[in-house]
Amino acid sequence: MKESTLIGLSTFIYLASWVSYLVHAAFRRKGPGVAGDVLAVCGLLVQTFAIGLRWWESHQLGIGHAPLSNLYESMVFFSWTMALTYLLVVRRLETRLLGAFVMPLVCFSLASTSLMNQQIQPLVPALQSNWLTAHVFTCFLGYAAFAIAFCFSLLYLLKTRGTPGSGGYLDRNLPGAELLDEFSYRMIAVGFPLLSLGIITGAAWANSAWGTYWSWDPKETWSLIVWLIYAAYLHARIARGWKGKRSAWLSLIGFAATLFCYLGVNLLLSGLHSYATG
Amino acid sequence: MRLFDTLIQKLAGIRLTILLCILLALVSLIGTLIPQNLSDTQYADSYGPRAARVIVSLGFGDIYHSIGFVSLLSLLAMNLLACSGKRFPNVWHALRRGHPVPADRKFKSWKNRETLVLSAAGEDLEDRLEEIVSRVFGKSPEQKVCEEDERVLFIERRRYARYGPYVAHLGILIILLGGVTGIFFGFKGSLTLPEGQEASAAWARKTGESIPLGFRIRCDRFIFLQYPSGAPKEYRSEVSLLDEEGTKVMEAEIRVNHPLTYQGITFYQSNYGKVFETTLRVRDRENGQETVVTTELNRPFLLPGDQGMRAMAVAFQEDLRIPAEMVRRTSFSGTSLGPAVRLVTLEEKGFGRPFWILKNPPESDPTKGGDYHFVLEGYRSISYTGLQVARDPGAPLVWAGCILLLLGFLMALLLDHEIFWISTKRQGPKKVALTLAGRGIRHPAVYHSRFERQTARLRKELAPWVKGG
Ligand code: HEM
Repeated sequence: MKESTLIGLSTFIYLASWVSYLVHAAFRRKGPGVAGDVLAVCGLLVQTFAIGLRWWESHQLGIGHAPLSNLYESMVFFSWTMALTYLLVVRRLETRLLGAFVMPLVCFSLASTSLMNQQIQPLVPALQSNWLTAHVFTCFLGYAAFAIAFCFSLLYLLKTRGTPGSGGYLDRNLPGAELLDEFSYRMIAVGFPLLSLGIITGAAWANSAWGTYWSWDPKETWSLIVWLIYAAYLHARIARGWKGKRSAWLSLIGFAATLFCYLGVNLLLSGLHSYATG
Repeated sequence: MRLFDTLIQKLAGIRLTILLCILLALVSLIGTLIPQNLSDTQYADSYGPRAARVIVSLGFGDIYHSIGFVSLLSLLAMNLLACSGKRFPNVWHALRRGHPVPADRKFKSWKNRETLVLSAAGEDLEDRLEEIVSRVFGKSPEQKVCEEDERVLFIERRRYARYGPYVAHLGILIILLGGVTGIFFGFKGSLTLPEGQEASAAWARKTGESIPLGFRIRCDRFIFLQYPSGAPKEYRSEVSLLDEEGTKVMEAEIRVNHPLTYQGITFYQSNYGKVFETTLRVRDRENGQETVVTTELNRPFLLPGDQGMRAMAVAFQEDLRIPAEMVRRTSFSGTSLGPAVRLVTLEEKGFGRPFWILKNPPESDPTKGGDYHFVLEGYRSISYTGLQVARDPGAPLVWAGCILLLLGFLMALLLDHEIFWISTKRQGPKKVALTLAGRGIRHPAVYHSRFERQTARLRKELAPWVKGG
């Protein structure tokens, strides 16, 4: 079995999971919702196996390294962390509607990898560092937490869009607005330290490779922008009591900045990290 | 005075923090859209002269060192210091003061609260309660009230989590301090070392000044390895460090991601290349005097005779190529001319006109070289390694600040200060009412599930006494 075939397979399983969640949402039946959960778990298992296989294959080729070294590998890992975080969170919710929002993110990011160079490449000297592995790992865990927070904030805004308590579909089927708001905040409270750790390990890597821990290259700067937005979010929330709409909008802005930091910088701006377009 | 007071108030406010975070994000964003550190003419080329003038005069070309950006950062530091300085003492005193027993020992207004009715026929409940609580919480409770028919136990966990924001803020201040220290007391430079040569100074990156190292570094060998695909696998410099007298102190390797630090100075593998050493035979056309010199590029050497005339090689090509349109105008038959060295004589007025000398055929043009006839006898390529050289006394501060920052986050965002009350009140000879109440101080919403788990465990331990259970 080839790793790319498995990734394709897991993309389809996630897609099926998404469809199940949508059916669940449309017909208000529990069955498809449970099927969505089961499919998501299957997709995650297949994808985990695929990632492990790629790692193992790289060792067979004599250029063993954790599969976190180029755009393809990072995107596969990003969708993996999103699916994993979703499954960890969904156990604590009494709704499965979140899946209808998270699964498309997982599917699209995984489907986009079919357009990328999938070859296992040996690491050029600058990438041969344990800092790099720690850096990518923590950054993407943080991004995944922000992605889930984004979905919660979106649900929150949908839920409170009409008159609350109007008895509309979302109003009846979503958890309470306060809970959505709280979950969104909690995901950011987890994602923020992870992003910080990501930035710090990145700085440590830059320091050992280039002799400067901070050189204001666009990727670094964008990660700082993301960090500042979420820092503003946390302070507004913790110390000034911002809740609800305003804080949901900040969360959307934060995630937009996160996506730009990950993809926009690679595709539109150039810098030290431009190797990652490979 | 009023104005001053309000200013201080604002400076210590968290509104300013939020505003500064957003402003810093926006200014940083501008810096990623406009390429940084280009020359004025480069800006004029890409943006037109008017826009370029605006960019340069606003400092957008080097935005992260502009007055505006540095002011924002300084303001952030002051805000941080003022705000934490104002609030920290309150938190400190509040935590030192401890928690008085609430007047209502039934904790009626508490969100997380549970009551159990126990049968206390056997007297051992009161004695064992403390031990059970210690087991469940991993910590022995404090007895706050001990009356005949009423006792109140108190447990406090992770009080230190309340200091989280201040630890995180201190971390940020130390990181900023480390950055400033590095700028004022450190340097960044570079060094080019051909194999077999040594250096005792580096070139400062910004000013181009020579910075003495305090010791000497020699490149013994430079090694470049490739993967079968041709992609680079390893750049490695094998170096020796020598003291000022030239005695070898140690040997070491410098690779990408594996810098070498010696006496506070760190060397990073940065680039590599080749330099050439050429052997020239020079004859004085008038008196036939001849010398053979072996020289590198850009090192003047003496010409034969006793006038002290000098010349210098300024370029070398293993295979000199000349543009096709020039071929037609010269007698050369091809564009590939083989090894060639470009020489220049050093005259009193300055440099003479530079000229190329080919290895094959040996030069016969009498107009080249003036009074001297040059023959390129041979050449040798020498690998050189390019090293970045840095000393950053601020770096340890930065890393220490990072650790504090992460610890602070952990304490502020993921851990919580929890308090837990247990009150027992005798309600008859065989009946005891037990009230449990808990609170997560900073994240009350997250605390609820912990409370449920804690009370579930307590209930299990207390099962033998639960009435009717
Ligand atoms: C970017 C630089 C930062 C500045 C200028 C800043 C500034 C402030 C200020 C002025 C306050 C209110 C005063 C106080 O309670 O101490 C505050 C509170 C707080 N900050 Fe920050 N902060 C920064 C970064 C952070 C970071 C990275 C965290 C990460 C967790 C953080 C966590 C907190 C928390 C949890 C509070 C609430 C404190 C409370 O309510 O007692 N801060 N910050």
